[in-house]
Amino acid sequence: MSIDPVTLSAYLDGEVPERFHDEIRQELESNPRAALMHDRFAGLQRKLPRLPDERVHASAARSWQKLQRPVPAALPSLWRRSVSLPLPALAGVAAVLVAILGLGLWSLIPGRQDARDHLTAGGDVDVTIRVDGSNMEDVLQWLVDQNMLGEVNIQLPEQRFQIVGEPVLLKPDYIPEVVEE
Amino acid sequence: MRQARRLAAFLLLASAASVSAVELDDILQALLDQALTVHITARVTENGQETVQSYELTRVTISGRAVRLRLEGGNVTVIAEFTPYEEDDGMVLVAEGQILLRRQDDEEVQYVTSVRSVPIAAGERVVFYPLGRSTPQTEGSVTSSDSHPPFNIELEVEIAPFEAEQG
Repeated sequence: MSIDPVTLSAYLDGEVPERFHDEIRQELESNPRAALMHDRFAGLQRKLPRLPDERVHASAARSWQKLQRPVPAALPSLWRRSVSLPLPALAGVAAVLVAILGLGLWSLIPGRQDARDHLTAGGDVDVTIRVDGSNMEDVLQWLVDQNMLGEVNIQLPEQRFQIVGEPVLLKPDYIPEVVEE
Repeated sequence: MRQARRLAAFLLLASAASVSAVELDDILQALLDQALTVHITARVTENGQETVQSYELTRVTISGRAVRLRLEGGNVTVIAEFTPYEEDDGMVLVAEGQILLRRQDDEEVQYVTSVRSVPIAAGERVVFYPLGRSTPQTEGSVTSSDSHPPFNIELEVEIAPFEAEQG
């Protein structure tokens, strides 16, 4: 009989039935390799500490008690919960939201001002005309025709000018004539 | 609920359409009613009498909106703004002048700004001298160019109510 390492380890642990013990002992006496393996396993067994049996049994009992406790069912995700609402209440809430949204949009519409208000408000008038695309061309053409756009540039002769006095704003009718004596 | 949404949307569109359709006509009409014609004659004079160059231009504006001129040449840049203001008892013309002048030594630039105003009636002319008013030189007088520079700038302004062209 040849003995394998698993059987030899079980033999050392006392897990092999007794009827096979004689056979195993004969093998260990006649087989040097099996005897060497047996010595190695026995030495390893001596080095490993063994827990007291009562500690092992107590640990097993605690584990079994935990397994026997009832486990609470997991709560469904907030977003996956189904909510039941009566249809009339839902319709009422939706109508209120639409009314509030409509009032909000209505309040954003700019109030209509009289055209003269645009011209007389403030000392420095800046008129802004809001038109749709079809009228813009007409407005621009009208402004160009009236020469309302742009600054006027005039080229002076290349001469030397000089400030001769304070700037003057006169009416020609009231310019006094210089009478030389 | 669906009908309520449609009604709100319809009301919003109707109000927006009505505002845009009327506003343009009102503003343009008000512009025409309030518009003023500003006729400007810009002259470069020599010795205060002879006109060397003359430019005429006409602009349409409204009360409170300036007509701006920029004259450049030689050693000077003149920016003149004429703003008419219509009041209950008449009209006032405000003339603002900004002058950048390079001195004879070309090392210094002089900047002068001024504001003048005068009551004015429609069709009445005023003259603005942004560099000051030089007196006419008598014939045969001998003067140095520094004390009596020969060239000056005159801006004659006439304001009248705007009249749309017929036909």
